[in-house]
Amino acid sequence: MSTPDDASIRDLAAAYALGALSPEETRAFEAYLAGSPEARQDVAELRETAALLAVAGPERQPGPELRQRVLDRVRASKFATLPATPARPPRSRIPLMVWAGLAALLVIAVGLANRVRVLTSTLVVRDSTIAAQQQALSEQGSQLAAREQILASIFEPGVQLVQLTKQGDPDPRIQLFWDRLRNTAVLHASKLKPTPSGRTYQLWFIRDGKPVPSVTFDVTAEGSASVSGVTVPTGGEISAAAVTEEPTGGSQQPTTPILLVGTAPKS
Amino acid sequence: MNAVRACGALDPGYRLWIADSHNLAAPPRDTLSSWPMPNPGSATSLPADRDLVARAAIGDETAIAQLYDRYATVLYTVAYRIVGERADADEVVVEAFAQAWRDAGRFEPGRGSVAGWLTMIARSRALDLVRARSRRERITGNAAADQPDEPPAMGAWPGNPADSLDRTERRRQVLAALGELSPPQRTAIELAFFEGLSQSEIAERLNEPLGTVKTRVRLGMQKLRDRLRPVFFDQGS
Repeated sequence: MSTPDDASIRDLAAAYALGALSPEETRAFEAYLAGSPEARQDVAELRETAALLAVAGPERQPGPELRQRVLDRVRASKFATLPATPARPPRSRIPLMVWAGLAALLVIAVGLANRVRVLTSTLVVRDSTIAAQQQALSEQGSQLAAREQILASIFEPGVQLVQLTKQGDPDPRIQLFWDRLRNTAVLHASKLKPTPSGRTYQLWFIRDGKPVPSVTFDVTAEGSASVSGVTVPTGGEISAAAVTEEPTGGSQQPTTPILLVGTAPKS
Repeated sequence: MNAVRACGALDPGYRLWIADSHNLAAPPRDTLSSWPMPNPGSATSLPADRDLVARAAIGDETAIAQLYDRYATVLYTVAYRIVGERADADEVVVEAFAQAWRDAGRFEPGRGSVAGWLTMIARSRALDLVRARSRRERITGNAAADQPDEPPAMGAWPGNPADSLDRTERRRQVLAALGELSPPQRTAIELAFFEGLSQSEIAERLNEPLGTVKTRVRLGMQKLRDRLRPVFFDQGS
């Protein structure tokens, strides 16, 4: 039995097939469609009718190149995404409302997916920024730790300072913090000229009047260097420390004149 | 007008549906040959539209090529009618087939023909393009920029002679059916279909009461449906 309400909602079928209903009418009509196979048949026919309007105008022929464009596009999207789903056995009747709901969810999902994609790329950028900052921090951290170690070794009881200077030039300076209890030293250089390639600075301890080879070191572009854990030779009296320029890898005996020198305090 | 009732080319289910419906006398059989639509009873080896869609759904792009050969002209015609220029119509057709390719797995044969489905996809993409264009034009203020192109040379794409006969006859029937509507009915339906206007927008455009527009759309579409049933696109054999 059809009621007047049924009749008035059925009247919306034609406009529905043309997509000419308001959003509210569309929702109401789809709710009605969900429960009415006759109405679905009605709409299917009216859609076919509407589709035929397409051929009413003057016929237009696509250019001959369009076919290839379509196929290229299809092939391109084949690699991007395979078609949604393979052919399935005929589906059971699912109410249109459910489809409408699914469609709405799909729209939301696509929106969310886009948002997620944007956020993801933002995150990737942030991650790399954070990673770079973490690396910078950890570099700074290890520099700080090294400084800390240097400071600690400087302030150990029994540490004495040996200052190495260059005659006639007040700028280059090497401070040697010599821990006489442990026979180790920390070297800190400033304002030394960088050595030419293949050359390096080498530290010597003068023990019993003879040079004993110690560490080699290079300076930064600014002319500074820090070397910790330098072993101070034992088994004799250290009277001074000196620096020469040597071939890379260092020498057993100085091959060039002394550049900087400082006398050690008497033990 | 008995010719339009010739439904021998329709599939058995559809014929059954017609037999159940209220208004049909038995169709005359002598006009069957004037409908070169795919006929399930014939010995033709052409795959049915719905089989092509099923093949597209499992990733066979040659199926799209065949659908293109059958329906590109219809899609291009509706696209051009809506967007009014060649480059945009090309774009619409590319987008429509791309969408058909993506959505092939969701096509439901029970809900209509493949050609109708493709046509409605093309129409939606064309209306989208026009809406996007008018948004752009509102922003840039150059609404008059797009002049329709010259019509492309007819026959630039050879197509299939049988198809084009089919198209010509179908078009003639559609025009005849539209000619039987009252001009206000036809206007309301064409504004809805080709401009994507809702009934309220049509009422506003024509400065007519909404109720009047609704009646015109409903009666006009019902009349067209009754008149055009026999030339519906292939129901899918």
